[in-house]
Amino acid sequence: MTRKILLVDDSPVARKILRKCIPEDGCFEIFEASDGLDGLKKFEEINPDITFMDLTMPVMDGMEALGEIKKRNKDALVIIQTADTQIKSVFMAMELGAFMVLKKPISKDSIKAVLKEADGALQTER
Amino acid sequence: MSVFSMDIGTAQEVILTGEEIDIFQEVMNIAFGQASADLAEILDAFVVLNVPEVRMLDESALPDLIREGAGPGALSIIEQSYWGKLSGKTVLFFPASAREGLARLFGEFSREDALACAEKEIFLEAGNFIAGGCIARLANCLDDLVTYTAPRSAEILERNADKKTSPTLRRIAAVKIPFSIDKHGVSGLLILTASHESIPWLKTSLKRFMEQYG
Repeated sequence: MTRKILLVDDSPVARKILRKCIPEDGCFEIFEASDGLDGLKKFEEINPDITFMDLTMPVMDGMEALGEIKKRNKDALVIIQTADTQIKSVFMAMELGAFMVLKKPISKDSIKAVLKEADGALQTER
Repeated sequence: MSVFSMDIGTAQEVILTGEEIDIFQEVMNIAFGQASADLAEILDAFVVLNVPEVRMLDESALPDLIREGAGPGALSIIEQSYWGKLSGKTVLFFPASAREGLARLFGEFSREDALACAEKEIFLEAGNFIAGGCIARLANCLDDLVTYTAPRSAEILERNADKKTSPTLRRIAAVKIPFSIDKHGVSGLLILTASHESIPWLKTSLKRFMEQYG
């Protein structure tokens, strides 16, 4: 089964890195957005299975976008990937319903492990 | 080869491409994010981050960038230089109104004690934590080891000066990062520059950073 993944990050480099870390095994269809507001629009359009969200972004930051996504779909699976690993930021993201907070820089191994865990959660849900 | 064509050749080697600027911006984002997390833990405060902005500019344009960053009103400015394979300087700006908040943040002083503290000392301590932390994390991300000068209070800028300096063909990379610390309402701006001499190493290093992802 192909999972739809939405990558929300203002940095084209961060999106490129994340793309490279996602296994190219045909199991994932990837979409991109360049800020929180764009991410919210794309989320509504494509209804992704998994959303990767940065926190520090222009226009609408990741924390606000996460909150808005959760208002639209409380079961949305959103993984925060950020360099901002202050305890308060992590706590706020988890309070808003993030599935997990990943610390940048990410690695192929960490993304592989997170996707496996997310897949497990999605299967339990259904 | 004429002197002119040699200059052009040299200049091209020390210009970051659009893609390299994007990579440097992301590396700075990671470095400043990590430095902020350290700072937040030490100070028991929350650091609000903004998106870093990277520019390539002629060395002679740096005073203009600093003046632009300084904006209106009284300011404290702290400079620090660093050396490694990557070298350059940091310039940290705080509005004068930040002094009391910084004094309490860095010393847990009472209001009276904070007001009595030597102004320079408070801002220098802040510079050491914020700019120094950011450089250390940047060096770590790029697998470099840097040494620093002690932070020093910079001269007040002549904001109205129309003095023009001639272009030098010495290109530097400059990163602007606005930030704020929620406790006591402290805000500031950090400008970090990578020197002309270190740009070729920076280019190689940014390439290596991306190569780890295949």
